[in-house]
Amino acid sequence: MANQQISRRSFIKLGIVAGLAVAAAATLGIPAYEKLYLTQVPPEKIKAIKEKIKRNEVQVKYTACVMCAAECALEVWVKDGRVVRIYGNPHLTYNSGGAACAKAVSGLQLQYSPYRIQYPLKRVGERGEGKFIRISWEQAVDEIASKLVQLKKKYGPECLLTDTGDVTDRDQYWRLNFAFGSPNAVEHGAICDTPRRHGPKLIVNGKRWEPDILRPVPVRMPDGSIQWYNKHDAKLIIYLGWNPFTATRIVWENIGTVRARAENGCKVYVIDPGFSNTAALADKWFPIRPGTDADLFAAMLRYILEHDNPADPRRRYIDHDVLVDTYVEGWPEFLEAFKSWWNKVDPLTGKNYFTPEWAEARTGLPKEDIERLAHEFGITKPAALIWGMQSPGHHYNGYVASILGCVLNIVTGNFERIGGVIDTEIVKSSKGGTATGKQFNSRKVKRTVNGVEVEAEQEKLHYCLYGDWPAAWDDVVGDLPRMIQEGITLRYGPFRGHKYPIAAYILRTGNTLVTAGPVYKFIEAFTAKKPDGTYKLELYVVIDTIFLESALYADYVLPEASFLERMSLSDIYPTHPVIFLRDAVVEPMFEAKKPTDIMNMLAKKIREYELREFGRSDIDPKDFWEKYKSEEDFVNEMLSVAPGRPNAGRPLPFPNLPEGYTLYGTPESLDAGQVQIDHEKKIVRGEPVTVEYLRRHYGGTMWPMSWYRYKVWDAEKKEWKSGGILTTKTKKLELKFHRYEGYNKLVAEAGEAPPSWKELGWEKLPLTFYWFETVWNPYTNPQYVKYKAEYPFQLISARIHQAMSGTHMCEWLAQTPAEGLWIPLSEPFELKMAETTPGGKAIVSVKKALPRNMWCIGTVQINRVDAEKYGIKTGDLIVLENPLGRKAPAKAYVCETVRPGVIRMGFATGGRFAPGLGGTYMHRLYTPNHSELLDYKHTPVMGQTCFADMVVKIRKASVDELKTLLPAYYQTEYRIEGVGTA
Amino acid sequence: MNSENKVENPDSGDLASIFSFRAQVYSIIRHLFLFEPSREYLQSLLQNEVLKAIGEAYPEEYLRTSSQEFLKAVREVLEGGDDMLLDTWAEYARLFIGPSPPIAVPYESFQRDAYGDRRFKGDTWMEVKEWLLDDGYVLEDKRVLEDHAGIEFEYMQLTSMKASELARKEDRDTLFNVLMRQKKFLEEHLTKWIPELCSEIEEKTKSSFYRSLAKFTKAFLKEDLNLLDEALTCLSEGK
Repeated sequence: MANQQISRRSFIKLGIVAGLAVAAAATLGIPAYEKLYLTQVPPEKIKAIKEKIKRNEVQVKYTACVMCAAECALEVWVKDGRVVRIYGNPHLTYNSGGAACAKAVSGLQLQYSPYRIQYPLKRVGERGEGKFIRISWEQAVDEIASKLVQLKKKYGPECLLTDTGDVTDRDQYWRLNFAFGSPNAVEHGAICDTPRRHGPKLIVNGKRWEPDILRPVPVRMPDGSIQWYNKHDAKLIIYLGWNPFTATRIVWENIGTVRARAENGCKVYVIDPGFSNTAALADKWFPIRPGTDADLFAAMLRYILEHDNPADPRRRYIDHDVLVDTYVEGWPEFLEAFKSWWNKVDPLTGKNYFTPEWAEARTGLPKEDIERLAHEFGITKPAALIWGMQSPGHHYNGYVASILGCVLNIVTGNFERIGGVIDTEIVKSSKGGTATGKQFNSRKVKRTVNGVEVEAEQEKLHYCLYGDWPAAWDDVVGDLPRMIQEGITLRYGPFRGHKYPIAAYILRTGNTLVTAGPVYKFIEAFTAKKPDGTYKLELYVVIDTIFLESALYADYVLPEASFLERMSLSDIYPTHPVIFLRDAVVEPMFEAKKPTDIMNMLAKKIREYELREFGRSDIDPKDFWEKYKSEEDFVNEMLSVAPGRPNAGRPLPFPNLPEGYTLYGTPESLDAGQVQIDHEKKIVRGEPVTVEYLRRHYGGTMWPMSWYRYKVWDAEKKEWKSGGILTTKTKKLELKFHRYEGYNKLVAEAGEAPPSWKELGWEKLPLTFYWFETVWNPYTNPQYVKYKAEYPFQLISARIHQAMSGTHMCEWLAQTPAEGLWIPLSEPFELKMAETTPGGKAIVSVKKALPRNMWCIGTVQINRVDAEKYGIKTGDLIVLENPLGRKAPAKAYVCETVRPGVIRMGFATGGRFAPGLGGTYMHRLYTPNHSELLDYKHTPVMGQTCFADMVVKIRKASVDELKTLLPAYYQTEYRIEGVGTA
Repeated sequence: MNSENKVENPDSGDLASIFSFRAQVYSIIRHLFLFEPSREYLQSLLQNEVLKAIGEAYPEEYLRTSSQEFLKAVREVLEGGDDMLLDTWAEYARLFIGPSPPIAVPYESFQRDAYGDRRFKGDTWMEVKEWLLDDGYVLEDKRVLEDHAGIEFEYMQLTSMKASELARKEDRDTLFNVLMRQKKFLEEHLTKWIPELCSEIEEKTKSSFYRSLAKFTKAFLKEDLNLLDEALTCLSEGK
């Protein structure tokens, strides 16, 4: 085409034409210009802004990370309203020693990602189609509130389930949920590792046992001062299925393990089917067969009990001073129940239960190693036996391992011992208090059940605790697909017989579709329709900063402020009370809103609709927008219960205050005695911890560390008693499981055990030691031996450094290989990137063709010996298939760092069909999604998905086959840009 | 040009009309990059004399045909009823917002900054922010950022309005400076990324509406740069 630039003639002509056109436009009354975004401001204001920019000021602010559950304290540099640097907080050395890891720094990619959710969206296509339109917040809130009230009218408010995914920052949503009238609010813990936490909950009312290697810690000195105690005391740490160096959420465990080893000669043993990064550091790696943790622990306990000899220093395993009635409830019964198995013969191995020979046959570890572990753990003091999330936390019988793990630590005298083991839940600072809204669950409500009106507390409508999972104190999400499909029938409690559907699901910063169980089950449930063609799950809302698979099926997607844009409190795993403020360091971008604002907006609108519909409302303005005018108001209420821990242990944290009393208030005010003491309630109140206080203290504070905090000195009787951090029924370490009694009573009243108990042949929960096998394990459970020949591999998953399923969108993390699970073995693909032109004069966007093996993808580890049998080399495409016919593709990584007979893959590292995940999305068709290979199976009692119980067979595969191997939701061509094309 | 064919410079009234005309076109492009088109807005486009006149006003064939194509696409959306309008809004989201990664992220710093580290509030964002400040503009609404295509078009719209006013007042010196700023902004910013963005949209959109908008925008920007050159030359000769 000839270059037709505007000539002088055409320019003049344009003037004439333009004049006519513009005049005509004015005549027609069409507004020439509409309201604009840019504002012209006076020169002095411009000058002020420019001077500020010129000064190049950096504001240093403090907050807490969310890129993994460690939630380390961060120092953030903000310039011109944008975050420019993320560092660790050098003033709060807890957890990370003042450093920030790569995950924290990559938070910048999340914050400024063009793939973050910017505006409220409404689905216009079918669920899963990915077709949305932008709507205003007003419209979104109006439609959601209207729908919720309609559903409340139709089914009762209990039809709403709010799932807040990540533990942190959930309280506003729970408050709204409870105030609305539903007791059904859950969080990530429901799908995380409930079996792992089972023993600690039963025995100490706790959650997670970790080694006492957080250093330095603030400790009260004899002269009354607080000093940093920086010495390591641990002499032996055994990590079973726990990998602090790669997958930890507890950074101080990582650092502490290295230091304890270097400074105190602490031995580290790792028991794991995979040679993890932690195993690489350890003194010895024990490649245990998956799903046999309980077997190992049982054998260790039996060995210790049989060989303990208090008179022989080489056999003094048991701390008999602890195993007394003063501190331990129910030990004789536990021992008896445990020993009752000793003479039984295991039908699978032909050996007596819990002997080293029996454990050898089951675990695959030589009996000498088993005896060595037992002996060394028994004889070394202090020592810590730690068990993990993936294992035993993801096994059907993980409870047994968890209980035995606790018992092993207790009988050897390591619980709460300096250098021993700590329960991080019962020592951490309390937070939340009345802000969380649980008090709404005490409201009396009425339902008509089988024609009879029943009145009881709202909490008695709980979908699990009075439904099929009466003892699931951490709720159940893995079984949500069935619950959506079938509805809830309450089996227990005053509302027994009452039925309701899960008709509304609000999912906030979670990715249930990928992380809670078999993907296809969740998709089936979310897309299931009633005979009239409407969805069974009538309302599905996702609230998040990033767009993950779960949001593809939502009706509404609401943008929540990122972790750098909102205020809350971090939820961490310390060895003593510590609390960090998550502070909003920048304003929310686009139309993202803070949780407090979302809560208030929805509450207001729900109230409007309720008044219209019912003439009254469960939402009181005084409980929401009138009370919490800002997020700071909300967080201050959450802080009002800090630390909420007893003045107990040695050294006594506050010698000036009564021992055993519960403490509230800043450490300074407690130290100075600026307190009010309530002797009746045994409470000490100092100056409340507030947001302002935390800001003045670089974003966090901590109270002193001490040990043996379950031992309390009774000054009157001049004797030690049990209590302090123990809030169990008897205030002791309970090896008689009093916690189960309430559930047993509830079930007995109904006269029928729940299905998951019946699976074990239980009509009630045993109150002492029990044993049952895991599932899908042909080495321990006779029911599965038949699969051994055809499905010779046990399938397990492990976490890599991208701790959450959502952090894959951070490309910086994506390029770091990890442990044979995340390796640069990609197929060729194109990537769009910015590049300078020759001479560096301009930046242009270019598409680069990346050859094979340039990009990290989720891979599967297979032992060299196994690989050779199949003719598989590293980089070969293979297909995994389980006995249920579910398949997944994978690229093999052949190595010696996984036990033979095991396939190990990363959790949420492959088969990811959320387009915003960049490279991980692009490689979805040939990378494995572990959740595709699961059985729809849940642990008894707690309903945790059995992520780690499965067997598979493998074979080589072609690229062509893989293109059609996976279900349709992987195949859908969601557009992606900036990263390349699939 | 020889003296026999000498053409006089356009008068102030013509210049004012030209710049007002440009402002209107930028206003349209701005609106459509910032918002999903409402039915009312689309109807107003069909009645917009400025759009209709582009074919007559500009010599560039490509601009003429693309504006006609665009008007045709507008008509099709209106005639397609509510479903087609909804599809158009869904396509807007798919192109510019998400939730899947947008096909055409409409932010300059995303398109131009850094080696593969594409994100919001990059260095170019700051450059644009400072450019706007230099001309006395701030963006107080936080729902978008300064380097959004729509905001950059808005800047061109506002400064074109200013130019029109200055032409009417015959303040040629200030007008010259304003036009120079516009030219520089086109050269250093808009034409550095919008044409490629539009090409991406043309290639990948499912919607003839957005395809034609992309073509039209690309063509107009190119012609506008030529027009500014000519206008500045006129003003220089007139000094």
